[in-house]
Amino acid sequence: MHAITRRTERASCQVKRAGLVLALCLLPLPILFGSLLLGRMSLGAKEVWAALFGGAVPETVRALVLRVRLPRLLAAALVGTNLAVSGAAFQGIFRNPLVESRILGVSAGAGLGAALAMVLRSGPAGIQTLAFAGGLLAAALAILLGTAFGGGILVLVLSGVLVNSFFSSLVSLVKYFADPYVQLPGITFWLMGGLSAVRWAEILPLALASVIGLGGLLLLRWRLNLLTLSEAEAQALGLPVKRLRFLTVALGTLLTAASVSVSGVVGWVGLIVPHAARALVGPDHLFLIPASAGLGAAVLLIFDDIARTALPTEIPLDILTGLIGVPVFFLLFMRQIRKGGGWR
Amino acid sequence: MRKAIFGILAVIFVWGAAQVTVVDQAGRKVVVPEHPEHIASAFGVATAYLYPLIGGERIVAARYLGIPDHPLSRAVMSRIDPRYDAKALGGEVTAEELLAKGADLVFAGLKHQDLAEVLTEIGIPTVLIGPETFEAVREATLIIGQALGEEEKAQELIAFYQKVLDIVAEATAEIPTKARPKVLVIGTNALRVASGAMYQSRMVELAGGVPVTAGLPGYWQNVNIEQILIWNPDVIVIVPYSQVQPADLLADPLWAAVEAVKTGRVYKMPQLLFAWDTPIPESILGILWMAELLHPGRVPLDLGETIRTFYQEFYRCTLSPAELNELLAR
Amino acid sequence: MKLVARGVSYAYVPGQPVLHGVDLTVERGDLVFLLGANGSGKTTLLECLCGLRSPIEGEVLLGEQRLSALPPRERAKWVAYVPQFAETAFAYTVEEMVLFGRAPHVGPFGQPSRADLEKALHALDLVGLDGLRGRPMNALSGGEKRLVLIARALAQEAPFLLLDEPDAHLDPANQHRVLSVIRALVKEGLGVVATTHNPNSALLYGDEAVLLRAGKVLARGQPSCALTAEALAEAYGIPFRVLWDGQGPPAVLPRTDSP
Repeated sequence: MHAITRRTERASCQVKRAGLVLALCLLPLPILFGSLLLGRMSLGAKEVWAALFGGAVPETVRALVLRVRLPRLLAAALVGTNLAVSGAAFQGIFRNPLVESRILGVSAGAGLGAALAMVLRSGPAGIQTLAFAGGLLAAALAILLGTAFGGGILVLVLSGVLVNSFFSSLVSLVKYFADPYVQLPGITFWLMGGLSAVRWAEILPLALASVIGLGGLLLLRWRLNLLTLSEAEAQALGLPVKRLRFLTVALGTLLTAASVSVSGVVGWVGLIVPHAARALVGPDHLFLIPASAGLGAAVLLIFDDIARTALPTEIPLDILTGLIGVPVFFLLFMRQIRKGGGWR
Repeated sequence: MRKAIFGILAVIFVWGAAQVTVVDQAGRKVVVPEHPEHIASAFGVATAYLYPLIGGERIVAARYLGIPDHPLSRAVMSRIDPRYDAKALGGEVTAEELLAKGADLVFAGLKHQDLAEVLTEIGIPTVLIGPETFEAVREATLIIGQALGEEEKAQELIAFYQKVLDIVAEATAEIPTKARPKVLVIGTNALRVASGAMYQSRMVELAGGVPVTAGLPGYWQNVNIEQILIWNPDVIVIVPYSQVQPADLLADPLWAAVEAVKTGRVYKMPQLLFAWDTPIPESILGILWMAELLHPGRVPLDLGETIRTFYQEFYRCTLSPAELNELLAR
Repeated sequence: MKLVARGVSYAYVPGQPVLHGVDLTVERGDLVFLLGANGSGKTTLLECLCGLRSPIEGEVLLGEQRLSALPPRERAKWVAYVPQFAETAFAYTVEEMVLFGRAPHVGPFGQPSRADLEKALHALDLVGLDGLRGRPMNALSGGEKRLVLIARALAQEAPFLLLDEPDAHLDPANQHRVLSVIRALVKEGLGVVATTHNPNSALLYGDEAVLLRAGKVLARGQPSCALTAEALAEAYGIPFRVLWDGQGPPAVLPRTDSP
């Protein structure tokens, strides 16, 4: 009798947790719609609805909603999701809640790719492609280096640090040789992150990468828990640890590189969102991954709203996520220390 | 005894007169050599003042903005100063570089205060300029003329500058606000715009337009496409040294709803030698060009003729009709 | 079905073997204790037995088959391993931790099913901790943590269980708790190899004791027969004496008075 009541008690707890995850996954939708109303030019809900579904609105409003805001908001949602999910995955692989997806140097590599593209006078497609390639190259280098020296987690982290520093120095080099009047401002602005010029053409590759990366990590999410155990334990439980780790890193890197190539370097989202999600739904990746996905999209949408409406000029995203994100992280951190749950 | 005192006073007087002191636009009192032979410019804008006043011979090092990217610019510049390529300074100019080139007088911008300090310490006088208004351009011309000992030439340049300004101002003064097109000036990237405080906005106003960025403070600013849609300029002018071409904006779906893009009124300012949108005497050609763009036929000056005259008089350079056509082709 | 190590040698550094041709057999229903001084190769042997390390000489057999011929997933369905230290960076609950033991039975891209959860809870029941299922791991005592890890290994439903020092860092009450649970499981048909630094654990609970010295088997057999004072003295390098009060198994103590 006792066991049965305990079991139904636990079941309702599980249901609550699942419900919370569902709520977090659905959260971006109303925020997305609300964001369509926001901007330097405020729109009403009816106008936006009409613009989306073929009602009668002035051409400028339709263009604003469909060509300017919608692709930008979708990009924000996708980038937020990708960074948060890959951040959660990397925190699991590296068994460290203070890690985010940039640990293998993806951002530095993407920054180099974008800087080179801008020095070479490429258009937005060129910038996105080179940034993506640069991000993958940097991560691949870090993984190769790490694997060459044993493939353990510590070595991987060190390789990431080396690659990060190296590519950052290369970016500085490119900035140094760039024309300070013509090319440098563009490079600096890109590196600070922003979605000010997102077109539909850039969404497609981002969406594709997101489907592959998110889909893969969703399928693997229960197994990610096992990667947080020691390597010996995971292997003893029958896991192909090196292969699984490599696959997760690859998927996470894909998500990060694709995102950074569109939004520039945006920090802290990949670190803070998984933390917040963990505080809400616990460390089990079965719930953590979907929760991070929803929360990440919601958070970046909000940051992007601020970036494009607060001032007539565009506020770089990295500045916002740093200024707002860090104090929030600190508060979360303090709360976790007191509660002692979610992570040790 | 009196003869000796007079003698000493005379020497002091003559010695004092042999030194020239100018007050630059940073408010600094700079003592410059009487006959500077190795002149350098660490500021692209300043270079545009040097060539009209003294030509290329005594210039040993300079920053040239935008010239290397245009075949026409390279061709014309080589006629004016065949060795300009060797004199070009790149990136951030250092005091050592200038010292190595043997400079005895350096011109730089207001943002080069640190460089100026270093140069002064090692004994190279540095004059700083930083004009952002028509008045300031005239003042800068005078200061540089004084420093170079070419005050007469400077006055000529100022006179030409002022003359064109006055003609354009008179022609556009009567245009009612309704008839003044809204103009957006774009910089090195499509979303990087010139603020209301910059020289470019003064040029737009004089040319009979309304700068849409009038309320925007600061220097070059990064905005998003939404802000541009709100401003909805009638005409877009791209600065000559930008990477953006009019075709880029006309084909971009993000820009499609902007009025200027819809009517095809996206133009890139011509580039010959020095950028016509920067605060230099040559910018009157840019103002004239813009006035022609916004209100064709209203200004009683022929653009082609004025350009030819300017380069003939101040650069001793004859532009062929073909070159002129290429310059003004849209 | 037996788990057999035949002539197993292993070296971390080439030329410096830590195991020399060791033979070991475990049958279902047997509790084998592995003893030896620090560095005698106990943990290494354990790791070879569960396939974490490949012997450089000799082989490990599961029935007729070589263990190395099985893919890791299959191996995990036959041999379960409980390491001495298990720290996680994240505070999983007891239930979640035990559920991890179902990994060999869950598909590569899948999640545990309801049936998996039932089996995990059953395993928790077997070690007597079903009341703690919702508790976070870091809120448990040392003994409880050890039992949860054993439950996780049981959830694998593997017939063989390898434990690295299950009685270490536990007070006498907890030691007894853990070892008697293991004893009970062995009675149900599990084959267990456990390393220990305490010869008395072997004497109290074991069916067989294997004493290692410098990577070789020094003594083997029923604990009270194998763990003589001479054998222990040779293995640990200090004198021992055996005490027996006529009831139950003997006990051993290091001899602290004059040699």
